[in-house]
Amino acid sequence: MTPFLEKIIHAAAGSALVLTSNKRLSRHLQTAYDRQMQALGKQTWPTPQIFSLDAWLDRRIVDLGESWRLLQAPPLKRLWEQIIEEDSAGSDKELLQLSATAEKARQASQLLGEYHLSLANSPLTEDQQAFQRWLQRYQRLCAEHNWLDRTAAIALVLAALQRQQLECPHQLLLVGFDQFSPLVSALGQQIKTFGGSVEELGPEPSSANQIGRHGCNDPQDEIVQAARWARALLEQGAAAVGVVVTDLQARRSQVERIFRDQIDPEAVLRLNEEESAFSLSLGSPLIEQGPIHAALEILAVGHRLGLDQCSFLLRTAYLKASIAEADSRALLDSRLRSFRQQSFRLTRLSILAKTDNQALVFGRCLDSLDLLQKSISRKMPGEWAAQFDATLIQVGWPGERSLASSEYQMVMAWRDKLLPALASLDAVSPPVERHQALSLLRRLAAETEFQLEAPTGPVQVVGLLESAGLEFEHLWVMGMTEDILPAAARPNPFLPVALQVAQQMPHSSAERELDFARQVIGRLRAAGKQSIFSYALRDGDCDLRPSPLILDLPERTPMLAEPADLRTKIQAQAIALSELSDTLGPSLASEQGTGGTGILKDQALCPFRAFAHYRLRGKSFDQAEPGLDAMTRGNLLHLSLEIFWTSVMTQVKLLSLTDPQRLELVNQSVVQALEQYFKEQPTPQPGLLEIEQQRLVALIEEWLTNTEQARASFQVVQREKELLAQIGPLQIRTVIDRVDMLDDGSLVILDYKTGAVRAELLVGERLLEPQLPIYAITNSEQAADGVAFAQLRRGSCKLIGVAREEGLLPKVAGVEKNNQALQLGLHSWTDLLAHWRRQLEALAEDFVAGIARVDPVDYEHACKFCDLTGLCRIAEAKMIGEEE
Amino acid sequence: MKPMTPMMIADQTQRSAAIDPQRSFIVQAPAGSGKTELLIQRYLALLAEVERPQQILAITFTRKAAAEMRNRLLDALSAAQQDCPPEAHKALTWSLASKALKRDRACQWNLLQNPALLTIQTIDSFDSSLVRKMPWLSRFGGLPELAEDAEKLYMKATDRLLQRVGSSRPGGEQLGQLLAHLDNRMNRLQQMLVAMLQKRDQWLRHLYGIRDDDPCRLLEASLAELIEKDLAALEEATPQGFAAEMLACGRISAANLGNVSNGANGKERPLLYLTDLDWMPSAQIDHLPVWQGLADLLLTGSGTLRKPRGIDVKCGFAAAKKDSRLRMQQLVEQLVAFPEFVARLQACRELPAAEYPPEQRRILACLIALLPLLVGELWLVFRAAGQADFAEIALMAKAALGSVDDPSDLLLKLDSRLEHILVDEFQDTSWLQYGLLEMLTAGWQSGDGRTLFLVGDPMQSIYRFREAEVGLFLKSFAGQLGVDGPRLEPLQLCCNFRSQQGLVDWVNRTFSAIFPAQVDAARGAVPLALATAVQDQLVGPAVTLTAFNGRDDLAEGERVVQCLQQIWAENSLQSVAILVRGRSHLPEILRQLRAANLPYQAKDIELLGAQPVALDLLALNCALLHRADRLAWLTVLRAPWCGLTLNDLHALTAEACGATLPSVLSDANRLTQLSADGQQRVERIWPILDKGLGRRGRFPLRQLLEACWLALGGPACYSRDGVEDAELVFDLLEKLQQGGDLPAHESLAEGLAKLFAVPDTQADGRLQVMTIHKAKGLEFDHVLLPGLGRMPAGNDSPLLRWLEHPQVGLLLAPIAARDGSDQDPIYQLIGRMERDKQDLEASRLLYVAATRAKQRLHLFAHAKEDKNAELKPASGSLLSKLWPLVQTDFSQQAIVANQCDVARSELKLRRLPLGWSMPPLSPAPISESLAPSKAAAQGEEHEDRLLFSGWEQQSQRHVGTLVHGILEQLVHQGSAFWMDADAAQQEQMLKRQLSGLGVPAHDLNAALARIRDAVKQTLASQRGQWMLQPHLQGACELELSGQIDGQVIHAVVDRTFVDTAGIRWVIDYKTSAPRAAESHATFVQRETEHYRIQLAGYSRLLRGMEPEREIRSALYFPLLDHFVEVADENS
Ligand code: SF4
Repeated sequence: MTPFLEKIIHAAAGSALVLTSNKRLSRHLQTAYDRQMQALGKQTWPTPQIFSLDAWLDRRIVDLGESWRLLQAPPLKRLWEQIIEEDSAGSDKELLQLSATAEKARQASQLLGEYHLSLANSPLTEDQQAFQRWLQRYQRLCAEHNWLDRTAAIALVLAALQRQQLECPHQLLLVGFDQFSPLVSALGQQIKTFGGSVEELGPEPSSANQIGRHGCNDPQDEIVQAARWARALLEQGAAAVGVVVTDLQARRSQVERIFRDQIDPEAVLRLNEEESAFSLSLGSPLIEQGPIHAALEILAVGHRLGLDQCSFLLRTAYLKASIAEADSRALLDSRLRSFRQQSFRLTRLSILAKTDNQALVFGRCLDSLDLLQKSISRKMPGEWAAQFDATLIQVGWPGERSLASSEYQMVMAWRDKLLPALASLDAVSPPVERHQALSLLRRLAAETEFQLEAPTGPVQVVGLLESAGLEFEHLWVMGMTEDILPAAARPNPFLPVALQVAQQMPHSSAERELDFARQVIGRLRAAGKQSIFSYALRDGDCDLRPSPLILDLPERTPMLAEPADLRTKIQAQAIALSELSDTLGPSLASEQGTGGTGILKDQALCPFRAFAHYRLRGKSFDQAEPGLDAMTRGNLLHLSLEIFWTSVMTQVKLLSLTDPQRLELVNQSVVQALEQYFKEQPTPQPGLLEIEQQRLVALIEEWLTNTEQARASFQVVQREKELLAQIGPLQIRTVIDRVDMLDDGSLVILDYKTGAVRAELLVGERLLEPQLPIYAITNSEQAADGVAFAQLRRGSCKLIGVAREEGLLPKVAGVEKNNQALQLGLHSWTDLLAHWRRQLEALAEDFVAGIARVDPVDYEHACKFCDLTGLCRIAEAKMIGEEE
Repeated sequence: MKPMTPMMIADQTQRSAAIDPQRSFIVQAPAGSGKTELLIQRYLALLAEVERPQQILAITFTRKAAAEMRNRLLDALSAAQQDCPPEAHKALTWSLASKALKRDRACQWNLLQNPALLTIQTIDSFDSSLVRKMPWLSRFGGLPELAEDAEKLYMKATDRLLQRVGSSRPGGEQLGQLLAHLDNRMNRLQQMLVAMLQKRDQWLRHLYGIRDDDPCRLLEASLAELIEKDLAALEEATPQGFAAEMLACGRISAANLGNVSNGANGKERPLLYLTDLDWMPSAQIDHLPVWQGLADLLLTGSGTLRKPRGIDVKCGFAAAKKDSRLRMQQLVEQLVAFPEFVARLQACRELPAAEYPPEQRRILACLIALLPLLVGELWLVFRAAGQADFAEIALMAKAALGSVDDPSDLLLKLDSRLEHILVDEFQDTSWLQYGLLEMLTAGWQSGDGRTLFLVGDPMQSIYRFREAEVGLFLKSFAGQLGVDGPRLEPLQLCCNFRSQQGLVDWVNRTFSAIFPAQVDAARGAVPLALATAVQDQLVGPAVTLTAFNGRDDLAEGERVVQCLQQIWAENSLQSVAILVRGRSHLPEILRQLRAANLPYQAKDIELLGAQPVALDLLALNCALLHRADRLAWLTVLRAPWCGLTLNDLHALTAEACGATLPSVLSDANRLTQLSADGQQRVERIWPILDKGLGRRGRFPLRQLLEACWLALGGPACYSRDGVEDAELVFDLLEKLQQGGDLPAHESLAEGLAKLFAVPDTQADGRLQVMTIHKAKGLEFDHVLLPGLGRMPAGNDSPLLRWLEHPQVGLLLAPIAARDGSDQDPIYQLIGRMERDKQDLEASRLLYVAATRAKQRLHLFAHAKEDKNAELKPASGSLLSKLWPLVQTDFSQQAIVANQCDVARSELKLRRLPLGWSMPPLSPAPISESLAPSKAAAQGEEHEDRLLFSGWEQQSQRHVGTLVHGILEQLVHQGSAFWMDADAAQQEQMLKRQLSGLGVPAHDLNAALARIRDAVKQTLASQRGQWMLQPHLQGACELELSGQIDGQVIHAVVDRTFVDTAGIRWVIDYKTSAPRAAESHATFVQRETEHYRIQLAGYSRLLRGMEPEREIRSALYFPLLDHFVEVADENS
């Protein structure tokens, strides 16, 4: 045992009061005390007077009978928030971070209290003037309600000690204080006045300690080295290894991960929370934990749910029947996505879920949530807490899966810490609405630290403040860069800086920070027999420097264990991947050979794509779009045109209409189309359809006057006709938008397109637009004489295609004038039809044969908008040169 | 190398002046002029003068630059503790540092121990520090977290605004109009609004001026001013003494034309404005048509003066009227001597009227009405996220700083007097930053001890896309910052310490032709400042050119590789950089570098999302999160760790199109359909995936994904770089994850698209590949510039164009509706001005690229043959800038490009060999004695389900706590304190305590009643009295420690005493009560069993203190007034 510990135990045994700077340290000293008693063979002993300063004060406040007036932390913070909210009511920008402001203001008020200061005679900035207003209001409220904050309560304790109303300890040991607040000084003073002794204790610096400094490449490397160093020590049987991380808050998860990777790589794979060889002094916020996050998401459900919200509920493990209905819920999720809508009504979702009993339990859960979201009245936070709890029970939170011990602890924290904290706001809060209660709850969850209860192992990782008063055989202190110690000054913005500097308040000035840094580094130097102080030399592209306060230490290279993490070990195996030519899937059984034109299009773009899309049925989820999505808009246009031509039929009739008559007819068609279409579809946001109607009318008008009226005379003979085309071994099911007969009896096939189309795609070495060619070669009664895309776009309405001869369609060349055709050696319409047939049949045969080469025509056409980049592994070919 | 004594440097006077701590300067420091050293020297000189180091503020462009400056400053200060170095230029720094150190000692700053005293930061971190100081004024309430992905938040804000479509809320009407304007495409409208939010730091301050009845008036005023500026220049250029002739010809022509026609397309000809005109137009907006009339008179459509043949009836000079034709002919001939007049006259034809067409006006009005609402929504989104973007911080910092005019308040806000400000890279300052500087230095005067020092090089201003406005440098170079700021002495450095004489000469020669001759702040036109070389000329050409006839990436790549090999053959230590304008110029070059085994570091070049490792991880992640993401599951099965063949994939999935793949994989029957190889593969990976699925939510997503990936053998499937890339994916996931899930299914994919893969970690850094923008501030022995012939990425028509003009303010025009109508001339005007600025910046980009080289520059470019088989550079390419200078060389040596395609090799399925297994793993040994003691037997999973008993139990627990306290007080103080207490006050106290513990208000009365009941029962009962009365060796809440079976326990005994018979009692209070329908007896029985062990422990502890005494233990239930003794079964 070190002399330092010995002293404390000795004093504690003599019933001295030992006060520590934090709970962790008092627990540590307790344990040391217990061990000593055990070692002495005692069976029972009085629990020693070892407390954290806060815990001791709490007890004294209880002794004084004042605890009932004490405002606990959550209501106190809420009180400040309310005061600030009131003050900013009516300004055109609400405070961005109310909670942070309240916290700073609370701290400022606490500082004023501790240092017995007032703002009266200082010049104040506007921020400080605002704070002064709040403070006055706060003090008035406290007086009115007879509330005490901790500072005030502690002042009462000190006064009671002085009056000897409370018994004054005869001997006080202070352990682990890097700096004394005025309060501790006052306490010490008090004890001395009554003749007691006060002593400040810490591990004693020893010249025998071996201390060195060590620079690492970057912050990550620093952690890895520390972990390997710890491992090396464990391998040598070391008993207590300490790692102090100056900025543990920021690096907690990284530290945890890297230490686990190096010290117990197998635990990584086991995915179990269990005891491990190292322990961290810091937990993560409760809100980040799975069950808690889920609870908050569940409670947040309103009458309309965003797609992501729906998806979360459908996939979470923390709802009733989450295992039994896992698959049907997941499938429902993908179905929702196929609607391409950004949000859904809760009731509609519930109906969908219950259809065919697919996700019945889920639907019922939604109904329970519907009840909660309908409770619109204002209630006290405590009432909300009770209702939240009840709702969660109804929907089966935390789910069907049995809980891991970590989850169990989280759920307990929710019930024993979080909900009571919300209820404790009743003391200061007026009734609130559900969403306010929820956001309060969320904030509390974000501020509550969750730490898994597990026994401590031989390696302890602690933050800078928690390291006070600890001693280690082996110690590594990391993060000793110039910018961390000494830190830049951070005075409280609500108090005049001059005042803070004059009082030497913590963080008030760079000089103060330097003193602090010296003090901390001094005690860290005493805390280990073998110590390393490390720092990163670079972070990203910035060079870093070590803290000037450790420059006097000699450089020392730590002894490191071989890297034990899985990544390194697996890579070290240097496995060569095997390679296999795998370009052919099973051929298609004949009875299955039907599908849409998309098959051939995909097959032409890239054979693998057709196989994956149509044989494996792998497709990415549909993406929701705001407003009316492109597909709906396209459908509406088709439908409107169909209705229009059904009544007009011929160009002669079209031309016979006066402008107003035509407009009227177009308008009618569009209105009818909209009505018809949205009979079966959920209607979109109000207002959109009116705009869509205007748009369609204008577009169709432009199309009719610019293109249809200016063509050679025609008669519409088919509209939206379904067609089953036999292409080689494959049956292709498709719909022909329109077939027109010209006066000379020739037929032209039209396909409406709302995007920009390029004629080259129609005639080429690889057939990238198979649709029109399919119509052309399979039109049953009579062979077509021309095909064209009808490009319906505002400002560029036109026909783009190819025909038997010039003149059938405006600006559509005959085959003999088509450059692409000529390059392919096609001189007549018949040639072209034969060419198309060959192309289409080859594609169909390839598809049926299961040909699935990864062979895109080019990046632009094939891969750029393909959803299969991951599956086809084209990235391995490094051909994707992302064009910007 | 030439000896460098201060005396011999060409710009020594300027350099010496720049260190003078009494004067303010703006310094143009061209490439290689040693700017950082100068800044440091000045900083040191200032340190020797100030009272506190915090009075100096240095602002740099990047964090990296700030770190570098700080480090060099500290190095200089440390070096000053040693002897003076012999080199002259170091000596100066040394002596300045020594003086600074002296001051440091005198004032006891202790700078070397406390470098935090040096305020060197980026403008962003300066803004942040302001916000931190002014939580209330800035409306932030403390520094918000910086949004990682601000675009997401912009989207959210626009989403919220778009909800108003079709509603009667403010903005609903305008949104409808905009939607109609944009073809009812809401995603386009959203893009437009998002783009507006991105640039709101540019327009927001103008918006406040606009909000009146006619929102377009201000914009039109700006426009008019702009046009009048142009007209003024035209007027200025109009040759003297021709007015009468011009007007006369104009009258003749107009008179003739007026009789004949109205112009070809029905529009009135501008010439007709000259009808009967007898005065010359001036620089007034309403004279624009007249100017345009003159242009119509004098110029052809393509902007040249009319040729004699062109003076015909079409411009009002019939062949018959010889005299007037001759008169006109003479006039035109004389005007040939005034090319600038001709050019400006032509330019004025494209000027729009300063009036928006009605449709545009309507759309603008809508936008202007919407913007404040949009900004409001954004604030709410920021608020909900607790985050903000840089722009918001900068805007609010400035607003907070500027909200008062009283300078003493500024002092108070900054908590120290800023005396000296140094700004580096001033050419890249934005309007917003400029405004902040103006505010900080308002009222500073020469000689009042406060100085401003601005350094930069307008020739290197290339950050327009980040709102850099080079015009601000040019404006300030004229001698003052703003209208109220300090006077600035302009200084010009010219020495180039970096490049050899040959390169400096080339740059001087080349860029005097490329850069504009005149400064023009409005356009951002920067002329060349000639440099003087300090380094001697090297033998051999400084600049080489490899020219191609036609684009041929393959050949270019080969040449680049050859060039590198040559460089290193001569000297293998030379540093080389390949610099490009856009990343897309690189894939082929990188491929060939890899093939030639030349390791390179390519920072921010290759997209992370395009790497196989990232795609595989993405699929694995989606699969674990979503059982029905079929594509993700297929990808996981095809990825190298499994590598199912097409046949196996098909066999597994074909007949299960409606089922999820996990359900298929867990179906043993179906697996038998696979090949033997396939079965083995699936059997290896499925348990891993199954476990991963089952643990979702229990761990942070990163941990879950990483564990599965490692178990699958992920690291065995990729190169070392691939494994490093995986780390980036995991890091990203860690940032995105929320409670073991992602905010949206596509979050990870979207995030990946914005990141770059890690640069090769093994490369030694001799060869760097990067964009020219990234290379700013760096230097290399050799610089290769490939792809100079490529066109820049085309910028299509944005939905909205705007421009902040240094003199006239904001110009703004939305895109016209796509209904075949003409583009708005104002929109086009802004577009032209944009392009002009862009074009000027492209020249500067080339300058930056060329001046990175120390020894040699290697250019690679292609041009294409035009119809006449003449080589022509693509317009907008960097080659087009160089063209006049290299044309001859280029055509002589151009290598003809090869058109043929590279044969594509088949993509093989790559996968882990079947026999792969995990390497042996070893946990670090923990010696037995140290092994952490097992926590109370907790299985891996909690089988006993949590019994949710609802909320009341909580309250009961707290009732218990209070009852314990009261019973203790009754012992210490007697019953009077309870009985005689004021009931109301007692109620308040108890309720407050309950509430503090978390008992909700609506439960308080019930809880209070319970407490009172419990106390009442106890006090009324004999047993109770007995327990509470004073006894021998009595104690309440006695804290004892001890060991039982080697385990340390800590106990708090509610009540203990020795009764008259000498027996020690150990009593535990329980405030529980029977459950509904539970009998008294069963309840007591249940509780007794429950607490038996605990009580036995207490007894044993007390026995340890008094081994001889008889000890009995009991439970007491105050609510029932029931006392039951509990026997210790072990004893
Ligand atoms: S990404 Fe390209 S290669 Fe892969 S399937 Fe799609 S089209 Fe084919």
